Amino acid sequence: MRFGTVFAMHSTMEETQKESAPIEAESEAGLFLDAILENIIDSIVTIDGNGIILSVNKHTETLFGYPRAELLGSNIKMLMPSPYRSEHDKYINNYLETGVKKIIGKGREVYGRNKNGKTFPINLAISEFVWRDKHSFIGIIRDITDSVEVKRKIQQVEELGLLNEELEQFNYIVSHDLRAPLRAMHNYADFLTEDMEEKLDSTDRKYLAGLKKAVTECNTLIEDLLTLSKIGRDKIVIIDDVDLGEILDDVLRPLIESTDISILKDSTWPRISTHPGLLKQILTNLISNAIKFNESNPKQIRLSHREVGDSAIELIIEDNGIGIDEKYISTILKPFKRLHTSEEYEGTGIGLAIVQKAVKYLAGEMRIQSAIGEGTTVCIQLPG
Amino acid sequence: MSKKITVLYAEDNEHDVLATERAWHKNKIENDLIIVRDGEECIDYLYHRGKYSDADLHPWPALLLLDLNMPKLDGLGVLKILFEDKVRDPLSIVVLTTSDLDEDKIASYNYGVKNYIRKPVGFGNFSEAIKTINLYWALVEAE
Repeated sequence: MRFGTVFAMHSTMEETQKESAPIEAESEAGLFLDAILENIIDSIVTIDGNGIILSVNKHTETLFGYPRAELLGSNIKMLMPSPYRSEHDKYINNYLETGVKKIIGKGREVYGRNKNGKTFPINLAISEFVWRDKHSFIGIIRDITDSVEVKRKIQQVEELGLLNEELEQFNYIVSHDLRAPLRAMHNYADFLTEDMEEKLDSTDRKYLAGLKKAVTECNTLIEDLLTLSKIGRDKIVIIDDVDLGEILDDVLRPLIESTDISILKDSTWPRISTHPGLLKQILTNLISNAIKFNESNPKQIRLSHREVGDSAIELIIEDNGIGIDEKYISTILKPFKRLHTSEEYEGTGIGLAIVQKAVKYLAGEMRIQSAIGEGTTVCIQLPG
Repeated sequence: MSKKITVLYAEDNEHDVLATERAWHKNKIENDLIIVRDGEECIDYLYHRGKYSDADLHPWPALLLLDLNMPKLDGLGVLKILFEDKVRDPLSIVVLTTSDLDEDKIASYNYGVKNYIRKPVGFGNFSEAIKTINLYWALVEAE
């Protein structure tokens, strides 16, 4: 092996010693070409069909911060962040098996990862060549952190950050300033009811009660909207070893206090890694719905679970309520979508949208099975 | 015997002022309730500045009911001034909150305030609050 010739070649395996015998430049022209490749201001990396690095030029060391000796013979994955890192073997195998070129022959924007773990945008152009009867690949890598397009994207991200701050400010205004006049309206209605007690007839009383009810509805709507927008803005901290049984008990306690409901619950529940607050929100909304949209006597709710695969768990909430027409199931997941008037069933129409968003943030999935008059079954699959 | 104390109420929201005055009236509380409408006016009162320069006409309150969200100088600004000026006479402070937002409570806790009333100030929550700060004796109800 001779360094400086074909800018440092790595012999991949012992048994291929013969194949990877020193590649001698056969002429001064060859040496000249080597010098160009070695000194070019792009990173040039060659790999074999297993992703093992065969050669790198000088700029590769600068760009990724690894000395050449560390790179040669290592897997190219070391220069990639997730998710490319784990997908890379699949890319190569896929190509070698099917012959379908997805990324070979064209440049594309991906991310590289340097020795310090920093991720940066690169343009990667891959071409294929056959070296000593084996499929090999050349990658030409250019750092595009400073390119116009990338700068534009970074600017967009910064602008989004500002927008997000504005949104938070907006939420604060909604939660404080919009609720204050509502509270005042409610108080005035209370004062009138109290102070005018003898003078009010039943119609007056009905109007005042209506005013208070409308104000309360508006306040609930604001609170639900705030809950919906809060999910995903707060950092989601997953806690290990959360007792599902305990979470369910906490959720059920306030819900079943005032109503006559029969709850059938699995006797044992597993412990999972999750965000307890979001999970409580999900269960509270779903169980409230199971109670609210239910005219059976007695109202029955069955809470069970099953394990899915190695680590996922499915929570199943079944009720004997009024059910949902199948064609409306996707509709009711959207905010403000309701199937009943608020005289029939009160509510803001945000509950299930909150559930769906919270499930998404817990990396889970939700399925709803229902038919009119047949009750509803909601399955929430969560990572264990 | 109980001495009638003055209560200073810093509040910009007219509805809350009205509700508090109503609670005073309804429950026949005899303590003077002095209302200032922003943080600057609150500080002017306490330090006898501007229109409050006559200390006899504007007695030192034993209790300050303080709204946090006010124009000009806000409630936290008032707390900061009072906290840094340690020479003032004893003054019990109750912070008024509109919600259970913890950030407001934490911020005022840093200025030594541990008592809160969720608005509006009614007779119930007001007497509860002054009970906890040992000022209950100072609540005067007319016979």
